[in-house]
Amino acid sequence: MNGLVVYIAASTVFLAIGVYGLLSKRNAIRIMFAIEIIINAANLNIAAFARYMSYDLGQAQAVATFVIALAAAEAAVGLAIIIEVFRLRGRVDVDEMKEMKG
Amino acid sequence: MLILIATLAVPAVLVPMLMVLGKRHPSIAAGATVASLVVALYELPFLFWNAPTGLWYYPQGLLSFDGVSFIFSATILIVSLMVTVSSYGMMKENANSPIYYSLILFTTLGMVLVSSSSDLLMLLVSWELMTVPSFVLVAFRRKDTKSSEAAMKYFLAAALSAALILFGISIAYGLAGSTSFQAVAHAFAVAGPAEFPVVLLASALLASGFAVKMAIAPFHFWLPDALEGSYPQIAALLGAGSKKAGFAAALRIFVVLLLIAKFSTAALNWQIALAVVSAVTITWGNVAALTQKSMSRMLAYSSIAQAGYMMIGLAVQGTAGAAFGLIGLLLHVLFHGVMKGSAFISTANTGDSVEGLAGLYRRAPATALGLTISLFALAGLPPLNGFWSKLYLFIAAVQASMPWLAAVALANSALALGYYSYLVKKMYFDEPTQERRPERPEVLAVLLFSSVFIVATGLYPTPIINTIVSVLSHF
Repeated sequence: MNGLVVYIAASTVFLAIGVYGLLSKRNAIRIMFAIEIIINAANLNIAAFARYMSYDLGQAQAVATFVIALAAAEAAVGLAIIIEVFRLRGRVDVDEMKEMKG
Repeated sequence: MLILIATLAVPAVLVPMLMVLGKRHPSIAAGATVASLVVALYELPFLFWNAPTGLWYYPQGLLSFDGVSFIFSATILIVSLMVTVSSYGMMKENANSPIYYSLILFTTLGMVLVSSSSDLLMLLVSWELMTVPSFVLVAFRRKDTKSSEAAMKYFLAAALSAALILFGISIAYGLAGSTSFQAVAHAFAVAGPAEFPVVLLASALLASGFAVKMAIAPFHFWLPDALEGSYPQIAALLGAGSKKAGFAAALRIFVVLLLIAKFSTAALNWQIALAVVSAVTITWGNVAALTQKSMSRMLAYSSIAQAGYMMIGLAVQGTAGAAFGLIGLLLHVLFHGVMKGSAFISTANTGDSVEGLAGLYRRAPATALGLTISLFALAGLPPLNGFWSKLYLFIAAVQASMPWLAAVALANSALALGYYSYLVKKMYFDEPTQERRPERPEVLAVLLFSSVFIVATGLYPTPIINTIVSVLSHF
């Protein structure tokens, strides 16, 4: 049970780092990294729970693999959008995105 | 279920191949998309009624097509059909039109699967299938700074929502040892006082993840920007369609799962919390809509307010108003999908500026009539269908002994009627400021359908209400 506590504590720290990054960073790539850190913290949770609570390891591995694939798909499309923004503006700072207001 | 998935997925994969063959026939791509959506819509009743109990697990509990999925899937397919038909003229000259139609089919399939998932992993995969194609659809207007800015804001909000949902799922998995809804509901039900904070954390993470997609205050910040920057048709798909998928997920997880888990007994008055969120969302959306200069922004804020009305249906679950709340929620999902979709689509004919609506009756009479009917239905005027769904929701709020919620919602309906009437006055009584432009015929066809639907179900709502009641008895 001790091992589980260490892993859950680590994943909670990662969640906190991710939320801090979301709130404080202004560069779109950094925000994306913060979101990726949250996703990987969740994956660490799943792996640790499956290992220490002796759940079905096959299902846990399937879930974790799906999550990695989904995160990659999302990041691919997101980076494409960020590249398009960079081409049009030369910067990817979310504070400068004020064309639409109201 | 497999046939329904194939009906949407096979054309979605095949339509872009029209480009590879070098035959860029936009009409073939559009026709295939419309045909696949119509066939999918036709399959829904058979899928539902052929299921012996209405709760049909397939395969091994990943998907279950029940009454709630039936209503949500029908709404989503109708909205996608309206979007596809009205995009025809705009996409005719675009060399990438097969990609556009294929992305619409993929995101529609994602929404249908979200509304029939019965497993957390399946829910996550469908959720991504719904959001990732819609990023590209929002960014479809290339070399346009507004469109790419909208896509980036939408992407960051949706990625955050997926990350929160995933973290919630990982905690729920830790409690239950499985990702199926039944196992998670059972684990939540037997959780002792020591595990209660963990249950609460998982629920809160899932709820805030869904709330981003549902555009519930204070998670609604991305919606007006995303809808203003994209094509009017895509704004209709997001504002009228994919928000509903967020509601479907919330309904499936929270109502089914937490009511089974007797969450209401667990020293937490979550109905009041949801009711407060609902009241804040309705008021915030309507007040922000008052001052907008852009039609799509105004409609986006109004759609935030309408999401607040739907929240009433969630907030009364587990009380005396539960039955009316669920009926009202599903009615409002169906009706709001059609009326908000047609209001967004009509801005393809009117232009995006509120000032530009002046004298619309003289330069585009048919569009003006269709838009007027949609706006009055959104306000909930009696002969139109929006009245009935709001009536059910108000009755549910009163039955749940939350009369203040019904009062807030009613006051906001009056406020909404005020700014919709201002638009209608501009269309019919002001002098035109713009040249007469030809009205797009495919947009008029969609407006004709939606106007007939709104008036017919407003005058005679009994068949739809009866369908929803009988469908729910299987739920």
